[in-house]
Amino acid sequence: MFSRAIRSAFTSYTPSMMARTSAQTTFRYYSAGGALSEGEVSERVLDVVSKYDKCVGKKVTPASTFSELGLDSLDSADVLVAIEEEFNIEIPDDEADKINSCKETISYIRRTPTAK
Amino acid sequence: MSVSALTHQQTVVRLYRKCLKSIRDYSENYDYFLKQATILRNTVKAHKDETNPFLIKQYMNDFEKWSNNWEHPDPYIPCDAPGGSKWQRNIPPKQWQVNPARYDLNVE
Repeated sequence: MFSRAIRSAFTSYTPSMMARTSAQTTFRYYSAGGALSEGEVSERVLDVVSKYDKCVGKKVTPASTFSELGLDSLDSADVLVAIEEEFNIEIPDDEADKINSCKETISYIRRTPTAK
Repeated sequence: MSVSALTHQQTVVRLYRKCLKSIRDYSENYDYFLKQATILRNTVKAHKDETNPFLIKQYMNDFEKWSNNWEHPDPYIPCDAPGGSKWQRNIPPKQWQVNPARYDLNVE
């Protein structure tokens, strides 16, 4: 008898709870956000590269390589550290060795899902 | 997977990147970072044209020792990068936590 009373108390309570939860139609999707678009990535990369001391006043395009811009290997290391900070990623050393132009930088960031 | 030895240029660039990041981790503002990074850069550049192999070896040893000495104990790591706070932590939640309306809470 007591157990039935307790159960009925619970069941009388649950419908309101069910009604509340089933009324929730919107859910939060934390994974939503999507990859960065090509245009946005290239714009931000060119912005970082063109603000580097040795590139100021030069025409920086997605096609230009770092050596064309007058950057040596240490300069390109500087630029890549700045780009890592811009996109909040960490470029591994062996990938950083292969990146020699704006185009390769853009394609690397496009391939990195965690770039923000 | 083949592992090839690094060229001299690669070694220098990697050490330089490592030092640059250590400086970044230790600096509390950007001006200090720029100042220290310029000093590092000028030091590396000063020995650019060295041809004496013994001196090159000595400079590389010094560079490596310096980079190890100034390695930051708690470096800044982006959250998604290896070692970051979110690295391999994306554990999928229980379905009833994500979408409670689909689950009948009245089940005994």
